[in-house]
Amino acid sequence: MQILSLLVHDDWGVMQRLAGVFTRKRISIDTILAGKCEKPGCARVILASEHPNFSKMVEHLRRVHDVIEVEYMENSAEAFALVRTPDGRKRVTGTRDEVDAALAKEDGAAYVKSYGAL
Amino acid sequence: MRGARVALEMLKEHGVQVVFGHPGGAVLPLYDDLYDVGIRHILTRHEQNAAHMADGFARVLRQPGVCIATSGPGATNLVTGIATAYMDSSPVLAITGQVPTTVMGNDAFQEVDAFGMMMPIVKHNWRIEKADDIPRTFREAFYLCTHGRTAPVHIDLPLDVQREEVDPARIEQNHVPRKRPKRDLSRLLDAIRFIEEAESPVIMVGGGARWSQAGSDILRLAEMLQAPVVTTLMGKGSVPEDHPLVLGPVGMHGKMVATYVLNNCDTIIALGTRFSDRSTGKLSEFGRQQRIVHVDIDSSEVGKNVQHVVGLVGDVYTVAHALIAGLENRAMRRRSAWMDRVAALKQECNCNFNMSGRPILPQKIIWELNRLLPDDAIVTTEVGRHQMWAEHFFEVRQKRMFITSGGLGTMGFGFPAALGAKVAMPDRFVMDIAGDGSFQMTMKELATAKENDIRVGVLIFNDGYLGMVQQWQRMFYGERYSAVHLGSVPDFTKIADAYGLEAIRVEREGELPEAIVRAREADSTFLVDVAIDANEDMLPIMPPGKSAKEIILGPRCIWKGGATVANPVPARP
Repeated sequence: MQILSLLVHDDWGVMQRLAGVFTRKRISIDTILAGKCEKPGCARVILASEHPNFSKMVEHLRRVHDVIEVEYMENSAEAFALVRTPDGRKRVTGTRDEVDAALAKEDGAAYVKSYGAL
Repeated sequence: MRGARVALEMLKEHGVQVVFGHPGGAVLPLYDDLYDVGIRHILTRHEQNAAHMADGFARVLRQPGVCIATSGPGATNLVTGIATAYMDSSPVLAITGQVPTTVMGNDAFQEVDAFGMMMPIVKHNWRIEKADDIPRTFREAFYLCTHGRTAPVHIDLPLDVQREEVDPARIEQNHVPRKRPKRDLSRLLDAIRFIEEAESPVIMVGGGARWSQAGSDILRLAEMLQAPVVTTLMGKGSVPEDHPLVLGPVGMHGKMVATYVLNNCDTIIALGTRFSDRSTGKLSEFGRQQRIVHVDIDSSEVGKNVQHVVGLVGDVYTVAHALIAGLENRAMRRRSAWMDRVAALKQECNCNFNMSGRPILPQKIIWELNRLLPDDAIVTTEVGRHQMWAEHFFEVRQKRMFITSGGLGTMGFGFPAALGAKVAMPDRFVMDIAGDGSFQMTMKELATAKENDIRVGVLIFNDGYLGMVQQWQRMFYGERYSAVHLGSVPDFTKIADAYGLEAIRVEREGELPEAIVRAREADSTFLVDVAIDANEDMLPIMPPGKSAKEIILGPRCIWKGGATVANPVPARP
């Protein structure tokens, strides 16, 4: 799993601009994590994908005026999942493999999973 | 001071004296303040043409051109013009009105998401939500479109924000740019080593060279290296084409000598070009035998289309000087064999295109234009076969300029761009080389030319067809002509007459020189409608998706495939 970690200005349309870059390059993003961060007026956006050209997107993302920093990370993904089981909701965290293994055991329960790294 | 006035004051602060636009409900405060502010406004007959005019203006002056449109259809009409500017990296500031923030998102009258729509075709855009943000945003917009890779920017200005008062302290506030362009010359020594080791180098020049006005520096580098210079469509005119080292345009309809030399050299020094498929042909076949030094102001272009290059990130002027400085004190290899070969190849491509025929042959028209246009003429083109004849045969020498829609290929670009160019440089003669199909797309701007007394020449290559499409259907689709016949209407002389302008119809080649001279000397915009041979194809052609090895020469081309040249310098294995 490859990760792009971005620091961006928290302005109108920033997600639309980022998504547009990937749409044009025909790359599907597996995970989007976005939220406020330690810098006022800024946000972090973590994108994960297994597409072979994902790493080449660094310079294209740097072109986006709202993007302050882009960092590329490979195979360092932490994962998080929220699962709805018959016993109620469950949170799973750990390395990518650990979370994937835990989800495999859930036997078709609804879940949402995201990869991320900082 | 209210927002609309502050926006106009910001334009003045950045030296804007002319804006192109079309008013509407959502920009009324802006147009009301325009009344007092002392900026010349050119009213166009369609918003798309306001963008093309601002684009033509910007390409000539290398300063931002400004266009204004209202919300909704005004903004959607701007899109083609702004996309054209974006593809050719032209600094245009587009201002659109927007419905008031109070009703935004309600599908109000003339509401469209101009902010979202423009995003992929501008370097950046802003939707201003508070009037206090106007000064900062406009300053940022001007900074952004002129620094780094020049490009259009867009500001969406809601009606209530235009009416709102701006805090005077915000107008005075200094502007600190959010981002500054970065250079990366860390691989300069690799580049210098590649250039030094080259047996047969070529300099490939793109539009970036023109934007950074690096023509004389490129020639200095070329003379130092004894390397021929080839240009892309956008690079045409960045170096004078009468210089012995300049071989002319490469690509789909380029000169054979230029395309051949580019594909048979051992080192390409690419300056400010993005390796468009129209320049390179089949990308997987391009540059496989060559070492490539790729200079571009935009780091994302390095390695985008052509991989395995030595990339230098910076504007052409700066990097050319860095290369000259790095190479200056070294013993340069004498490349006399390469120079002799290039000179011989150039002879092989030196055809006489002063061709006679009835109907008139298009090559003949360009031959006459070469002869009769002044040495500081600005030529714009529309898009199609006439554009390619102009690219191939028109000689951009001395102070001449060549302005065309290269990236987006927008039919109808040339005429409004010519008007914008004339507004930018009223002392120069501006001529639009047009096709009958293209010209019909934007000929309504004859009214703008007449009303604002903007004098340009328009020369229409009239074959009654969408010529380039017809040629492709003939060559690649088994002569199954589909929707390409335009017929013999309209009568362009009557069109000109309806707008109170002069025109002449030319059907014999003997009448051409006088018609061109009349256009040059006319007191108003002047149309020359030339009937040309619809069956004359634009050749040679590198067929789409094919490489330079598969170029179709055609019966008129005298190129022997480099065969007449002895002692070839082999390409690097």
